[in-house]
Amino acid sequence: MIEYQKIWANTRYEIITLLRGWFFRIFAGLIIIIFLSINIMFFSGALPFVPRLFAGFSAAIPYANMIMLNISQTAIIIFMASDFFKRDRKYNTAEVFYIRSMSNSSYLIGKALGIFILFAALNIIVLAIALTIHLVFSETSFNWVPYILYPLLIGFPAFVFMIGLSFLLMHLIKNQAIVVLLLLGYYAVVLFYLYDKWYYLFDFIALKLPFAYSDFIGLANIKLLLLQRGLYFSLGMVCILVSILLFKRLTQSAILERLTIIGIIFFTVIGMYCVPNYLQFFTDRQLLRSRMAILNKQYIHQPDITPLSCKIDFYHLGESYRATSHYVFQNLSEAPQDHYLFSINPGLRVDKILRDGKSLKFEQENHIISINSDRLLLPGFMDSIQIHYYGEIDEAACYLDIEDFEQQNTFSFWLYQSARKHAFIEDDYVLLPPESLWYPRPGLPPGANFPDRTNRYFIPFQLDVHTNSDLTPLSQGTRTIESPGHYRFLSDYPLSDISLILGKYEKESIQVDSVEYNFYHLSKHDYYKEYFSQIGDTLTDLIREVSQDYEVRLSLEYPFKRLSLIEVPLQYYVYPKIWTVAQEVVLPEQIWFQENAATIAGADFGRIKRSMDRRLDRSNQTLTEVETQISVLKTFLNSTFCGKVMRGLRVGGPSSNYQPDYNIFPNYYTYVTFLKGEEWPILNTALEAFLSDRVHETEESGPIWRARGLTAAEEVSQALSSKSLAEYLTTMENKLILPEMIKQKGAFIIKILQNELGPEVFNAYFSRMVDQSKFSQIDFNTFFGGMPLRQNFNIDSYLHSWYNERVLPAYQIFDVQFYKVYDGDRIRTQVKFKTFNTDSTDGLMEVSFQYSSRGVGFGMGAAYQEIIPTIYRLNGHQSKQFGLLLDEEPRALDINFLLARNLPLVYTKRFEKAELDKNKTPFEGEKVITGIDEITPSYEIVMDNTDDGFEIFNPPFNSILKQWIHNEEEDTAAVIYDRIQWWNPPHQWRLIKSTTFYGTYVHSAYYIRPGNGSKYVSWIAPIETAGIYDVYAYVFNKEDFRRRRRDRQGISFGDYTYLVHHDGGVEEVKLSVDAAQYGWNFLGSWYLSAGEAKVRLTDESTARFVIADAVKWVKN
Amino acid sequence: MKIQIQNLSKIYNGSKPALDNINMEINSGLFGLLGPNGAGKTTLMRILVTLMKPSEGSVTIDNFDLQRHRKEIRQMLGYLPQEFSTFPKIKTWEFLDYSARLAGIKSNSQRSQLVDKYLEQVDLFAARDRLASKLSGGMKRRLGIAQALISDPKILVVDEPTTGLDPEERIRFRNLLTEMGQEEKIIILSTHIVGDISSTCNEMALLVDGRVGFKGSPAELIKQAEGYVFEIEARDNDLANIQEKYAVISTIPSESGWKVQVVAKNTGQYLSQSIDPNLEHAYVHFIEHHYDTDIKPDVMDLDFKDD
Repeated sequence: MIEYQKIWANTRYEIITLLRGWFFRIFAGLIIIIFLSINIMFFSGALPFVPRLFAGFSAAIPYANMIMLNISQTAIIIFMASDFFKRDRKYNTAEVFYIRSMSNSSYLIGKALGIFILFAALNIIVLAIALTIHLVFSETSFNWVPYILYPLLIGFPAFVFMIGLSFLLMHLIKNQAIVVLLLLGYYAVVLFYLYDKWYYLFDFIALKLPFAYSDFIGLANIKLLLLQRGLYFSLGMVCILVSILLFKRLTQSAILERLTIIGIIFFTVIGMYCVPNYLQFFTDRQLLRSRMAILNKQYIHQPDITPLSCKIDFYHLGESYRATSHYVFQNLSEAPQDHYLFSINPGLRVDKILRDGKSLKFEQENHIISINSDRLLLPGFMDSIQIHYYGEIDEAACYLDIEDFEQQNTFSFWLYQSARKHAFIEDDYVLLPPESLWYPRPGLPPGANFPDRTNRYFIPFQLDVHTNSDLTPLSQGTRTIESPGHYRFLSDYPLSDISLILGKYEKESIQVDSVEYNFYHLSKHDYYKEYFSQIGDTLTDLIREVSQDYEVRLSLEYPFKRLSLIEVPLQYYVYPKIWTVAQEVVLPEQIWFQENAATIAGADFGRIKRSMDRRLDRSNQTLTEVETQISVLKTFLNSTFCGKVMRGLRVGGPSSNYQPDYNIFPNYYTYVTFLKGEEWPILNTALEAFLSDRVHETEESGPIWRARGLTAAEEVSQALSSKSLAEYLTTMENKLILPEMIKQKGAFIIKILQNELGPEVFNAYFSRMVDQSKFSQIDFNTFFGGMPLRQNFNIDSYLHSWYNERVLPAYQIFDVQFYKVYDGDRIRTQVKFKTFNTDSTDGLMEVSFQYSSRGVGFGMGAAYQEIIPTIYRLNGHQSKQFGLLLDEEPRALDINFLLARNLPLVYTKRFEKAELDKNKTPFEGEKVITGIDEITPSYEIVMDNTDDGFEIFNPPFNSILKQWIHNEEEDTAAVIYDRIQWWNPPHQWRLIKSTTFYGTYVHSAYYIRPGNGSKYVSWIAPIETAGIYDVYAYVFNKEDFRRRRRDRQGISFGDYTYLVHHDGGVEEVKLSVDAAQYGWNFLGSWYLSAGEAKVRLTDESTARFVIADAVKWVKN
Repeated sequence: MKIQIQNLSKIYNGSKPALDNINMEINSGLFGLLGPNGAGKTTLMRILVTLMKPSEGSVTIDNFDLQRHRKEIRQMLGYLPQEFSTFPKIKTWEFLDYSARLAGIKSNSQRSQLVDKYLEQVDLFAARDRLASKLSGGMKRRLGIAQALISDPKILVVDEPTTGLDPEERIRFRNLLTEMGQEEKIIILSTHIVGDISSTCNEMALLVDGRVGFKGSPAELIKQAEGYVFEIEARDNDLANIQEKYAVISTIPSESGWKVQVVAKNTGQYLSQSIDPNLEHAYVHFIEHHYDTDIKPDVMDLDFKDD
């Protein structure tokens, strides 16, 4: 019945026909050349700047190749599948084959198989190229499974689907051109629009499906992937079988015809099974999360019991587990309790709860366990229970506050898509972080009460693990082996959380002073060894140096006995949390990183070494191999775990939406202590954020040519200008900037304290408190009660306004002076400036200086900032003059207004060389001054771009194409600051900010690419008194736009064209910006009647860009 | 072997029937099918080779019904269509090999031998490695014959098989068909070249307007034309009048003018002599008799591709 010979005959000659056609030959040739080039460029290490992730995990090479091949060959399959029908109609000799004894299915399947074999061969060639590059050149570990799995799961279903669809449409439409157009159109719609709709259901080419393969666990969510791919395979088969039925040749086998119909029904049923089951996975999760959120709200006011100790007995049962948690706890609330509340992962079922062997009644709904204690637990009294549970982990229960959880099932980097997994429980691998609620916890899940209640308890843990003896268990505390397969972990100190990992790890270990440093990884993931082969002896000193440097910056000591760096599956994903800076890649005593450090730029040791060698070459320096290795390792440790920004490194790689924070900070504070304040629950979070920031360098500061739209701190300040922190936390709106807001607020309150006590005193006090309260909570009153503050310093009132106030201060800076002065018999550098707080709200400023490694002035070597800035306070409506005496000559002054309405938030003033002024006396400190609130004389009318009389005219583009190309946004009510790109200015007026522009506290301007004068801005001011007025225009400091020393001579700022309206008409004034001075520049004098005065600036200019800032009229 | 055709009709999309109630029996041997354009010859042959379904009627081949036993019937078939000139990108020997594979010849060696044998037989061995699309018209025709024969069919249907062949090739092909006709096979030959039928076929049918106008041996058809075929000695100025008045078979120049062979009841005032008719005369006689010269045949526009 199945005519294999006939099928093969048709297949064979289809292959021969296609191979002899120019179309396939050109396509195949191009594919081979292109993929050879791509593989050599990106995966062989030939290019010096390829991101780490390209070699980061073993499936990276076949995955990228398969996706790219799938995208390109799908279009070609459309042509070729529709072509065979056209050929049959064209070749009049086809009929001599039609009269042969063969079924229609033999004919069509033979043809389809011919096309398939050809493409399969091409796929094999491409993968063979990839495999060769992988084995010979790449340092990535090799795994053969992805090379088999990807063609089967990614390519094959897409192929069958597209072949079937092409066949069917050709039968129905009979016109190849129309069919090709339709299918290419469909393909384009899927590729660019539909691919991520309905949880990637329409993504038949698997562009966005999470196919990243881990050497730990293989593919994550394999069932889900099989459903989606199965759907397209089934659809393809249905189309092929229907095509067989519709084929214009008389059938010869009734049985085969019936079988074809049965096949159609069968694959249709499979397809219909796949769709709802695939979607149900996501809808079920959504329902679960919604239910959990409702339950959390329902129980939010239930008082907590305070745990005192926890013992867990864990039995690993393959893809599930059974466990018992024995809690001792106390009632520290003011009321007796007869119900205890616990949270657990909803995938786990509690089957009994015992007290002293006797069962207690309980109810479990989702993640909430409500236990009915048969007696009252009075305040201060203790109790203990045993909770028995079993099951699996439902990851939908994790990260309840994340809204896009269901929208994004994958995280992507370049072409790679990986599932987002938050826990693993498999036969040979287990990973259970605290977020997964793998053991019951008293009260609601962490963060559920935020911001009303946040808490962290520190209790001793004992964990007994029963598993296969070939799996290495990893958890917190000291491990002992009780018997084969039975391990015990006893926490050395009270902890807030514990985690559990079971896997087949290799261990490297080193003791540095009192801390044991461990490194756990898969046995073949040891690419790093070749880069550090010669520094085994110096490793101790290196680690000591890095950790001590970190501790000095933080002013805290590492409190644990060990620190383990543990490799975890690629698919492990964490979200940042609002209530803590700790992400679940840093746990007590542990740091978890994705396999082969695929997403850690600093782990690309080869690239770092090459980059280092190039820099040394350029400066004619050399290092020994040992010195190089030390340097590379230090770069890695500092950039990855210690928050240092290393030039040229970008964490996470291109287009990555995954940038976990591996900073070890939580092991110094978050998992060590907790500042508990009933009235100010947010305080610990704010404090933590501020401390963490101490050991996080950023690239926020920089000269104007690197300036962004708004910095994070500026976004926070702008947001806080309209609502208080309390309001944001209540509504939880603007979640994107909430963490930054909490951090800035935390920084603010700390700086108030630092200003009050002095930074060194405060830092020392804080470190002492943390040390004394290690592994316990710090009571709010104890913390502030012990601080040597002034008697009348009311911290509560500060905290109240800090939490509830809406208004922010706004500062003006005047009269910045910079010169050398005699201080005794020494010559020192004097910096003085005046500040006026225009608002009623008190504020703080932080003053620091930028120094150059090679002398004064920008372009003179790398900049560095002094470590401890000086903090000044300015009360509402207060003016002060500040004076600072410096031993070194700075190149710039930075005044950070912290939280204010100023834009930019950091005022920067650059200095040229300071001259010695023998007549001046040194002044250091601050003094209150008066009389500078009247900054604008009454005879001057100043109109800035932020004032009401300022107008912009951007004519619309005269074609839709131009509109689309330039992607201009429509005017909205929101004020949007652009990133300054003076080398590529915009085609329409855009708002930018910099200290160099005019402003009281908002220093902004508009800029545009020069044009024909059709675009302009206008300043229109009311004139009360007629008379002759001098008109001025404000010009920026040209030095702020010079990037390199050679720019000083080369760059031209051209002319600006102003149109001044006056009683006699309109006069055009050309202002040479090159010749203009920084500040107000005279345009001319004109008679103006009472009414309106107008000055217009057009885009007509010879400059690279035109800046519209401010104008003023001064009455003569 | 026997083909029984009963009440066979074929109507395309509501137009005049292409085949109208055909009843016929075809036995082993060479069977010729003759008829003017649009008579229904190609339609009949496409039905017989299972490329098309009839609208009515039935065809039975040795107790196999054409509708229900297509598989068995296709195993017996060899077919050379009238249009046979466009090829996919395969070589001459590959084309034969493909046909042989589809014909069910599984053994590689057997197939190879057969391919070589038939290439020799149609004098294409030297061009075996040439792409089939690059063959000349006559060579393509020969390749068509070879692929029709390679499966050793019991029923061979050939449509205009000698078109494009030179006289020597034509004679060779006729001899080949005659040899095959000795075996227990049915060979249906549809052609406009009357000489192909006269020199090879024992039986023939004449289709006109979708109906069987004549069925019998060529000799019987010829006999019908006896007494109706004349040779006129004509002068130059008579020629045009003769051509208008009579069905002219041939016009050969002679010493006195022209010797014109015509089919007619009589030649009127023209001096003529009665001659023995051949099959061509008989065919023209039959057509003239059928249409009665004043009535022009309908031109039927047939599309064989849509069923």
